Amino acid sequence: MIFRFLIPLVFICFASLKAADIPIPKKGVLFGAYMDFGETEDAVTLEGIEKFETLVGKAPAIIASSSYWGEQTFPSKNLALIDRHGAIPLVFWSPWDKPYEQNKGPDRFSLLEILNGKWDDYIDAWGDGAKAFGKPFLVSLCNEMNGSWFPWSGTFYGGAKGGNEVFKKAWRYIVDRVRARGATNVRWVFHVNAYSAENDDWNLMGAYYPGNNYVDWLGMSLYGKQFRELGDWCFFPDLISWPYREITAIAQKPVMLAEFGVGEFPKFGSKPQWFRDALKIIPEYPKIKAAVYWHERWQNEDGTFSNLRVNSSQASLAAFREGISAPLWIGANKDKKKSEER
Amino acid sequence: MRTDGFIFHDAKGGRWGRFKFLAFAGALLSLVALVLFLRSLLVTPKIDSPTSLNEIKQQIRANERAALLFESANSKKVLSSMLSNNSLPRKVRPPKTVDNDICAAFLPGWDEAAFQSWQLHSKKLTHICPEWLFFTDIEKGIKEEGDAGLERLAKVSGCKLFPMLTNLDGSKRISEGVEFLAQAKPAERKAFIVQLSDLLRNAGASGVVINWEEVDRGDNDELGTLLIEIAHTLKSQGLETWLCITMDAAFNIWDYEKLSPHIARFIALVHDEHGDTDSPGPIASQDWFEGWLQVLSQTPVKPEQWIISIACHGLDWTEGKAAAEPVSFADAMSRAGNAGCSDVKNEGPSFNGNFSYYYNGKAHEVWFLDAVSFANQRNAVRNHGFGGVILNRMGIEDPVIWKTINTPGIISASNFHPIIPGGQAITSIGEGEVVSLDPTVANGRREFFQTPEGRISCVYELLPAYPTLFRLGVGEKNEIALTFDDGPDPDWTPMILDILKARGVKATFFVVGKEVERYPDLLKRIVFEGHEIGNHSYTHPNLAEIPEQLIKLELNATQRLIESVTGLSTVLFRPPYNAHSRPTKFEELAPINIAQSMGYITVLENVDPRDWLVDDAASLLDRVKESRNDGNILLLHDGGGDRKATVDALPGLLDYLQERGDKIVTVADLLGVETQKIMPPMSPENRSFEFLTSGIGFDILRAFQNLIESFLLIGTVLVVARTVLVLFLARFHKAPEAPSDFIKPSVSVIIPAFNEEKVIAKTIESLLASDYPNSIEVVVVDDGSTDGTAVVVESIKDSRVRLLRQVNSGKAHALQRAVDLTESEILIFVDADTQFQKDALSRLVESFHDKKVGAVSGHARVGNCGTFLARCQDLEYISGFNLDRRAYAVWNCITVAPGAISAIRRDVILAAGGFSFETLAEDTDLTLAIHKTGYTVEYQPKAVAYTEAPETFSALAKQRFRWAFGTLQCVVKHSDMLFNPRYKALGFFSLPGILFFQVVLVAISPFIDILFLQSLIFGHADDILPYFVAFMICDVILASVACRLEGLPIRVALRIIPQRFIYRPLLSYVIWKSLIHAIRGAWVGWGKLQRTATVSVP
Repeated sequence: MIFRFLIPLVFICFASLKAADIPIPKKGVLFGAYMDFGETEDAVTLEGIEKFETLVGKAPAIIASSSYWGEQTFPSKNLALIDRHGAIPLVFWSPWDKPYEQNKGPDRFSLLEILNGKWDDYIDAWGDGAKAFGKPFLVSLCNEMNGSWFPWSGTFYGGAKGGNEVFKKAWRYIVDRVRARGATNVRWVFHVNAYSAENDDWNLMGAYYPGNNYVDWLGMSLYGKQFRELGDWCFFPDLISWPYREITAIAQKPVMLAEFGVGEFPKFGSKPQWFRDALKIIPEYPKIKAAVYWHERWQNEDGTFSNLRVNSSQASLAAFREGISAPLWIGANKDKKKSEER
Repeated sequence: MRTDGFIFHDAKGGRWGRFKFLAFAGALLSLVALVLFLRSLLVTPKIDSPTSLNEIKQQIRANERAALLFESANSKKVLSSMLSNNSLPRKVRPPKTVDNDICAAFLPGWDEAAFQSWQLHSKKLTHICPEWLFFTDIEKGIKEEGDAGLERLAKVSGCKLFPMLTNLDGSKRISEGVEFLAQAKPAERKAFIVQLSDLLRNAGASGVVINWEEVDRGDNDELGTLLIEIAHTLKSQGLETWLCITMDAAFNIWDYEKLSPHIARFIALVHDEHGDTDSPGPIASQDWFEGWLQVLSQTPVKPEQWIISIACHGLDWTEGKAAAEPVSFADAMSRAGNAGCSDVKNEGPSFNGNFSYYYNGKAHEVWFLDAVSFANQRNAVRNHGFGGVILNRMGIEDPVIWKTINTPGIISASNFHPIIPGGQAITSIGEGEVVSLDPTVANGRREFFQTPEGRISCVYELLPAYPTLFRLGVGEKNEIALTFDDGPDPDWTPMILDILKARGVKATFFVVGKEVERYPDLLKRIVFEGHEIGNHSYTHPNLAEIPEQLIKLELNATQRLIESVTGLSTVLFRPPYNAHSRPTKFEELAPINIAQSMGYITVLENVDPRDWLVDDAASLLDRVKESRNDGNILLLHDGGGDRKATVDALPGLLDYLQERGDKIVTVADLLGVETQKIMPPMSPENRSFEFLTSGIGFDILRAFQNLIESFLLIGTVLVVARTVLVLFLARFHKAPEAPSDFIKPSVSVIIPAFNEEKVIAKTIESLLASDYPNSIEVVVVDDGSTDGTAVVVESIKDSRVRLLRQVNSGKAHALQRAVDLTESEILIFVDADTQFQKDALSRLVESFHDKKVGAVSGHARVGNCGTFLARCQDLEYISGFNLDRRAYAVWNCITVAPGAISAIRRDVILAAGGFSFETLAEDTDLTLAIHKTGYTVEYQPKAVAYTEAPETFSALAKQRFRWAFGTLQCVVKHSDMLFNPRYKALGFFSLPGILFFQVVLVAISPFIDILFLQSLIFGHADDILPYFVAFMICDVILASVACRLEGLPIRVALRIIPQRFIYRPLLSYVIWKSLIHAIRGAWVGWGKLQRTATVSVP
């Protein structure tokens, strides 16, 4: 007799134990941010997060940070911290070595070495770390591969002669190994640059797509002007329209702006206006379900600064705060997190 | 006169001797016990420290491998690109010979060592640049450093003040403040400039050094424009603007052509070739330095506008750590010396000092700058004809720099002396907030060489030694130990323990001995719940200011106490007041050294939210957030004051630490040992005689303390209860009134007199002037006066006055004689100094219409209210005596119908046995005896007489002694009435009241006063204050009610407050005197008051 009650009860318990998946909002966009976590982009601190939240007036639902292969670690502490804070971690998992400098080509973590099995142990250990974390989280593996600056770009593996194929193989290889460790909680983000470095067929976004079974989200980096001495000002509506069409043509998957941002160059264009446009327009694109603002400032070799921070000027900060406060921008649900704890 | 047979009389005379013997023996025993107790505290218990200085010192050793050649830093690339960009031919100038150079120094206000250097060397400087102003937030404006010490820098003739304005927030550069300002509206920029110039002018500065790093100049060089605006405005006020320039990629962001006409001087920060976040390498190698000088000389800035900042610090890179630790020259020397490095040199090619060592198994690489690098760099500056040098910074430099800084022309190896003075600084090795001190001090020696290229090099032959703190207990970044100081406290400690228990968190409590003594159970609970304890001294003094023996006593007392309460000892020590992990004063080292010699490990802290300064939990949490990254040990307080904010903040604080991923550890965890090692069970050797004596001593102290507290509590309750009861009863008392048909009989008024010539006439006249309806007889009994009393009485020609004379035989005898020789049914007793109001006699007699009334007390007031002392007594008569009598009369328990004004039935006196010679208070004695006869004793407040109060302290003391002794005698004589149901209220209320309120309480009160004073001084007055306030309130209430009944203004009642402070000591004095006299058993004379004849009936 008692089993008639017990069995459904047990079932209910298990159902609720199964981790809830990352919510894909029907309407609106998950607000995410990378918050200037230092040189290796992985110095996640509660202080940094809280400071950013106070700055923009909204707690991000997604908090981005990096895991570089040169460290040979799984970022458990960062993930746990982000999770305790009630946000979803997004990890840029990048196979490159110290010093982490762009434009220098493949190193000991080259895709070929990965495919040769040289880093199997590390990938497996990383997979174990991911499984141990337990909750669903986002992983952007080998981002901006259609660029030319990171060592995993197709251009370094034969370019038109199958560079993209090497990439796809390596991607599937890594994902298979991680999944084999039981880390089914990883949500894989296929993260391209909005504009391909070489605009040839082999280097277009779709050419790198490893297949529907290997990808959960489509992601892209979308930057306005970043350097004072380089490039023109680009209005946000013009910036997004073509890449959006290109990426949504790849597959029927939710889309995230895995990185977006712009520098402060008032002589060239208005960053506040760029913010107003971006924060208004992004939620208007029906397939964009998340957008991660790249809040960082750095100094270039010529002494100039690239200031992508939301507070690069008072006017920019005001525009960002205003824009992000819209209900369509979905932040972390702090109240829900607290009630779950009890 | 009879002087035997009185109460307390000791016929055999041996009692005093026996008492003296017992008292002496008791005192001797107590003294011996005290000496044993103190001695036990001077013997340092054996402490099994898990680690010793020698063991720690073995952790550091030299790494003799040759300095690694490090990958070339980015800074080299930057320099070469600068050199190639500026392709102008190098200008060659002759070395400067005229010494009108600027010789300046940076000075951080927070560093005590910097001021020590300043005091020694200020005369050698032309400009001083303290870190004073900070600009990081356009809304908050310029912030000032609290302890910049400007006043200490002022008024050194010939040295100009150029405060620094930075964009630092702590150690972080904040770019937004300055960038927003550069972009801001003209009005906002102007407000900033006005604030800046006001600050500078008020400080007496001659200009400002702007050091804004990591700031974007803006698309249109808005930053340059802002700087020109600032310089322009300051210039109009006679102030110069100096600008700091870094030698890195940012060098080119400045438009030198645009700035140089406005900026008076440019300070080139020619260092940080390898900064703390770079790989190890020289801080400013000579070639790199000279390369930059060349770049500078090719700018449009005039050479004399350039001032070159020369660094003098070191950097210590630890294997596996992201950032190097900046160290002073002394730190570098101390590390090399302790490691035993044999090959420390400052030579080519870098001309920076360098060595390697291991500490705690970790490899360290140190690069440092010294007097040699300073000399080489200053020589290069001179060769370029630049405007001068600025030392970056005071407090960390090689002191020999000062010997050469004013050398004219070029410095050479021969300018140096080989001795390196040791001991002038406090140095440290390693990381962590637990320290071991090596106090060794010694001078070092180095040899100087002149190289063929004209540079100087040196070899360190002997390294100098400084007092050195070996740091231990560095944890992971996310480890933190909670420490609570100054408890245990009965209010806050349990709350904190509850929170820690609920969270399963262990902490370390640094306890104060005297609190442990009071609350031993709290200490037991702390230990039982798994927390660690440490020694925080016994009385919480500043140990840096007391002698060594006292420090030992402080620590031993607390250690013994901890041992006797918990059975465990502790090896942890934290000095009160100076817990910060970077001691800057030498005197702060003494307690650490002494504690260490006793076996303790000193636990300091780096995370100090100063919880004792905040009022609410939220700001305390903010302060923790601000300082969390400074170290691994957090300082909070569970005692020593109101800790509500700490308790309130604790749960949120634990949440915060947990959320940021912190692991809460104990001090033992940080040291990598088990808790048992730092709180070992008492070693068997410690279970010694000393342990026993100290344990018993603390028990006795505690029992004594408990006794006092219970006494205070009971006393207060009784005083309040009595006050309430007296007030309650007094309301019911009605002045006796006879029915109209009551015929007042003729009465005899009896005045005992002894040397009363001054007052007796007035007294008699006041009686004769009475409106008494029947005949009166005034009987004066002259008790053998030696003055003209009898003459005065005889001179009053009135038939109603009768004079009896006798040889001196005491007041009681005089009274009894008068009773015997008069025949009236009702006798009135009057003191010779007391004047009756006209109607007083009638009022008194009126009470006797009631046949049961045996005696009536009148209402005595003080007649001579000319002095403060007398006015005090007046109030005492009103509130203390008369109000009491009203209340007592209701329950028929008046203890005294006073000799000053009372009326008694003649046959009642006889029934009660007459006046007795056995006591000094014959009136009290008789009154009590009357109670035994079954007659009642009434009070007639309307019968008022004015008596003369003593006007001097000695007279008052005499009078009160007579009263007190007499009262004591009466209570003893009539002790059968105490708690005797036959006498109802008298036995249970008024008579015990005399014993408790007028004897015991008064006798003990001075000790309570001392406790109270002591508690005021040591700042825990709240322990005793409530009792004091309760006592005072009772007094004031009683006095107010009494004054109201008397028809006097309430302000008179407030006189009770000063009165208490005068009376209390006096009353206790007489009580103690009486007690001693009682024990001695010798006769006491009648303590005659010095008559002044100042009483007049108003």
